[in-house]
This record gives sequence, C-alpha cells and structure tokens, in this order.
Amino acid sequence: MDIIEGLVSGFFQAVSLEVFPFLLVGAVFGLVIGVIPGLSGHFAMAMVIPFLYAMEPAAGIAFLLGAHSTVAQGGGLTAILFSTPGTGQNAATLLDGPPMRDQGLAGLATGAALASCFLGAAFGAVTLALLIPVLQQVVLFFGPPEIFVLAILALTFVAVLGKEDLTRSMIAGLAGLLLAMVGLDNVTNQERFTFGLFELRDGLSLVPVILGLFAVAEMFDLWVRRGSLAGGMHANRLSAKETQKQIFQGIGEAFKHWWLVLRCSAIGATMGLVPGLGSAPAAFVAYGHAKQSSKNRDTFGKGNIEGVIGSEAANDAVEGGALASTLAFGIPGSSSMGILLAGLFILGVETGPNIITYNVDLVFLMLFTIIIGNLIGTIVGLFLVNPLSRATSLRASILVPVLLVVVFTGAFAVNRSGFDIGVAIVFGVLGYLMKELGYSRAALLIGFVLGFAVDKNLYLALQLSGPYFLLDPIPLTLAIITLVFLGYNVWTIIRDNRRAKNRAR
Amino acid sequence: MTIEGQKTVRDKRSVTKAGDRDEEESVANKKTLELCFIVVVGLFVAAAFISALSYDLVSARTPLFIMVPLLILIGGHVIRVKTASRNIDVVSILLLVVRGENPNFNIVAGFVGWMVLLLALITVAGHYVGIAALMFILLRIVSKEKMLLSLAITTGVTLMIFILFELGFDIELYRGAIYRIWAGDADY
Repeated sequence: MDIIEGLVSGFFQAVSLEVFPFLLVGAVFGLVIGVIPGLSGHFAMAMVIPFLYAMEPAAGIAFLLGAHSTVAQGGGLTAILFSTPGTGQNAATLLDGPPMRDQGLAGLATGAALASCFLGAAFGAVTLALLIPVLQQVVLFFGPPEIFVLAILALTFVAVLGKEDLTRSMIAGLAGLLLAMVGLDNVTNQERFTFGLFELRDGLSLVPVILGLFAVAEMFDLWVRRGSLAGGMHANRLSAKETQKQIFQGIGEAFKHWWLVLRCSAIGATMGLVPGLGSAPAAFVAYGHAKQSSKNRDTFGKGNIEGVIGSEAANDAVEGGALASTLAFGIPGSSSMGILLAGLFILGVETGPNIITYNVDLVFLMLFTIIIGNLIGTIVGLFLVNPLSRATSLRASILVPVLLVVVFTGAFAVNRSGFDIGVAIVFGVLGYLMKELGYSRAALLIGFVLGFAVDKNLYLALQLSGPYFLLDPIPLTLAIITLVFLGYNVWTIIRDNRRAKNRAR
Repeated sequence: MTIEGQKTVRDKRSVTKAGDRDEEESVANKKTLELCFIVVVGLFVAAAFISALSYDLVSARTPLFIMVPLLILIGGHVIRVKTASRNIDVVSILLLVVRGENPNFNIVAGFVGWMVLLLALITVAGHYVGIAALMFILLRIVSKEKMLLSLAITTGVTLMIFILFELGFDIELYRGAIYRIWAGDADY
C-alpha cells in the first residue's frame, strides 16, 4: 500500500460508522478523565485496554488513541479554572492560565488552550505523516542487533530523562525487563521464574499489569487522599454567556498567534521523538521559547495568553513525534506509548517495518484519530466547560469503588482468569509504592513491554552475527550513545553532589 | 506586646513546631518504607538470580544480563538509603506499624484487605456478588455514604457491568465456586 492510498484509507476508516462512534466515546472519555485531577492520560488508556479484546483493530485504535488525545485538553481546562493541572503535562499552563482567570479572562484562556491543543496535535500528526517516507527507509537498516541496542538506549533515555531519581528509574526499568522474562522461554521451552505456578507459564499478562500499575495504583492514591478530587481548589465557574463569548475569542487568538503555535508545536513534535522526554518538559521549553520571543515578556506569569498558547500547543504536538519511534521501531518512549504498544499487541497489529510499510493505513488512521479526537475535544470543551468542570467535584469515596470494580472486571475479562485480578492487585500495590517512593512506573512498564523484544532480539542477534554483533556500525554507534549519555548524566550527578557537599562545608 | 498578642505568637510557634515534627515523621516513615521496599525487591531479584543459574544457558542469558546490573544498583541503593536514614530508628517505626499506630499504613493495609476480600468473594460467590459487595462496603460502611446512594450506585454499576460485558462483549464473568459445584461442573 503506498502512502496516498494509506492516507485516503486511513481517513475514510476514521470517519466510518464502524470506527467513528468509538473515536467519539474515547475522546469524550479522555476529556472527562483529563479534567479530573489525579487521573492522567495513561489512566484513560489503561481503562480502555480491557475493551480492546472485543474490537476490530481500527475501532480499537480509534478508541484507545481517542481517549489519549483529549486528556491534555481536559487537563488544561482544570489548570485554568482551578489552578491545578488535571494532568502533569499541563503544569506549564498554570503559569499564565490562572492569572488570566483572576482577571476575568478564564473563557479566553480556555478557548485559546483548547484551540492550541488541537492545532498542536494536528501539527504533530502532520509531522509524523511527513516522517513516514523517511521511516520506511530507515527501518530497513534495523535488524535484531540494532533493535536490541535501540531498546536498551530507549530504556536508558526514559530512566535518565524522567522526573524521578536516576538510580530508582534504572532499577524500575531493569525490574520491568526482568518481569517480562517470567514464563516459558520460546526457544528452549524452559519455565522461567514461575515458581511452580501454572498461571505464570504464559508469563504475566500485559493488561492486568498495566491496570495495576496505572489504574489500581491511582485508586490507592485517591483513597488515601480522600475528599473531593478538587480538594482545596476554588471553583470559579463562569456565567454561561460570557464564557461562550470569551471561548470563541480565545480560539480566534490561537489562530491569530499561528506563528507561535507553529514554533511551539515544532518544539513539541521534536521533543516527542526523544524517548523519555514526554509532554511536560516540552510544554515548559515551549513556554520558555514563547516568553523569550515575545514583545510582552514582562507580562508572562501575570496572565499572558501567549504563555497558554505556547505550552498547550507543544503539549499535544508531542504525540506525533512519540508515535514515530513507537510505530517504526516498536520502542515506546513514554508510559502512554507503552500502553499504546500493548494495545496494538492485543489488537494483533504488528509494529516496526510491517506497519510502516504494509499497514500504513493504520498509521494514518492513528494520525486522523489524533486530529479528529482533538477536534471533538475542542467542540465538546467549547460548549460544555461548566458541566465538565463539575467532574472535579466528584468525591473519591464514590469514584474509587466504581472505577475499581470496572478495572477488576476488565482484568478478569482479558483471559477470563481470577488470577489476573490478583496480578492487578499486586501491581496496584507495587505501583502505589513506586509512586509514593519516586520510582518510575513509566520505566517499569516500558521495560516490561520491551522485555519481549530484548529477549527475542538478543537471541536472534547472537544467532545471526555471533557475540560480536555489538561491533556492527549501527549497534556500535547506538551503544556508544547509550554509554556516553549515561556516563555524562552519572558524572553530572556526582559533580552536583560534590558541589553541594562543598557548599555545606 | 499585649498578652493576647504574645499568646498568638506562642500559638503560631507551637503550630510551626508541630508542623516540623509531622514533616520529620513523614520523612522518617518514607525512608523506612523505601528501605523495606528495596530490600524486599532485592530479595526477590536474588531469588530469581539463584533460580536462573539452574536454567539452560540460552534461557538464562537474557535474565542474567538484566539481573547483574540490577543487583549492583539495588545493592548501591540500599547502602544509599541506609546512609540517608542513619538517624532514623527504623525498628521503632516498624514496631509502630505492626502495632497499628501508623494511620496512613492502616488505610493502605485496610484497602488491600478489602481487595483481597473481593478476590475471595469472587472465587467463592462469583464476580457479580464480589463486586457488588465490595462497592457497597466501601461506599456505605467505610465511606459512610447515604444508604440510598450506596444501593443505587451498587445496583447501577453491577447492572452496567452485566450489560457491557455479558450482553455487549459476550464475556461470561465467573459465577463462583458454589454455583459451579451446584451446577455439577467438576472444573470449578
């Protein structure tokens, strides 16, 4: 299938009656989850995963990515209206969103944020589309030795660039790889780390692990914190008429600042290509850029609409870049991309050269899902700002029991096994402890997802090229990048510690 | 300064001191928790390492490649956490936890307990009974929500799950050991 055929087919699949309803439901679900503080994009995706088993690939992809694509829009809304970002990626919006609200310009900020998200997502999607022909050529150079070293490189990037401590993230990443080894070895049929449990012979199932790490763990957190999810936030609802007027003006402002949107989206899409960086740093870099390049630098932090536009555009543009490495090499760069990859496994969609070359329509379906999903988010956000903001007044005491039983039912439904509910509980406790203690759950999940690829590709690399496969040009280059990157970061940590000690003396 | 003014300053100081004490206690609890966590993880990895030594070379290769750096990192991190918590009386904190005098731990342990109960209920009485019981217990008994609201949510969500999974996705949720035995199913 060539690129034009794929593009047309992807678009018509996205708007078809078999797919569009799932995209719509997913997008609205993601928006609501984004609005609720404490529940993030990976929570939305984790909740969607169990339903994929009963779906066709196109509908499943639309449902999963639809839910993911609107989370940042919902999060931006909460950041502006309640001074608390619905998700971590909206933290940069806090700098100028709430001051605008306090000046009576909440609708303007909301409209600008919604439209910037949509434009950023569209830019990211177009970037990915433009990258496809390049990726089609690049993936041909990537065999088992290259994929093996690339997986290690990606895991190192995730561990080093994540917001958590380096050692803790490395432990989490390697533990994730180790967890993927549980079960029968495909080559020798040897049982590994099953400790006599029959249920572990097929390995740990992805869905209960994801649900545990990202859904049950969040439930733990909400339950311990209790109270209203909007606890401590002062609700500042707006009059419906004034809001509507301001939102439309805000959308106009985003289009008026098209050059800023374009530059900040380019920052987001580029940073999305680097595994481990994610949306939050991209939003802050874009915010910094918006401030530096603005004529009204002094008003940044006091309610400048350019601050909202820049950070929100970068936020959503990240997805296009992040999808590129996930789809082309099967190497996810963030927890959300890890869950997406797991979802694609469940739907029977193979990533790597296969999807980029033979199923390019599915790649375009993903692009259109991101664009249409964000458009739905913008339209729903336009008219339902006040009802949406009420989702924050839900009490944890009500939300937790309801979501918990849905999560456990989802965990059971995958293999129709009660054992998987147990796995979800164990990983829920593990995920909660990791969150509390600052261990990267993203690194654990990515390690777990990559574990299968690492095991398979190490075996194949050794069979194909022998023990010196690391000396081939691409693996050697990637290995050197990994070592230099890791070494440099360890050195900076040691240097900073020494400086801190000297200062303390 | 008036007597009332002096009293206010004293009150503020005592609040700040109490806040500092809470903060110190929270840090000590967290460090103790991390020490226990990393030691348990280390023990699991050590057990896996010993187990991997008995595998075929081909099967053991990747796990050993992963576990060698993992064990080194865990060892280094244990030393790091222990050094950071040298002024903390880990044993007495653990004794408080065992005696049930750590409220946060009690909430988390209680929540885990409810989930284990759910698992047991599902195994014995089936999925619907299990989830309905868990929801009702958490809503009505633990969170003290109104009876009508608790019943409405429990019934509504259980019904929604039945419609979605059994009718929508054609997935039969587990009916429980009692039902299976009663129905003459040997594989309950």
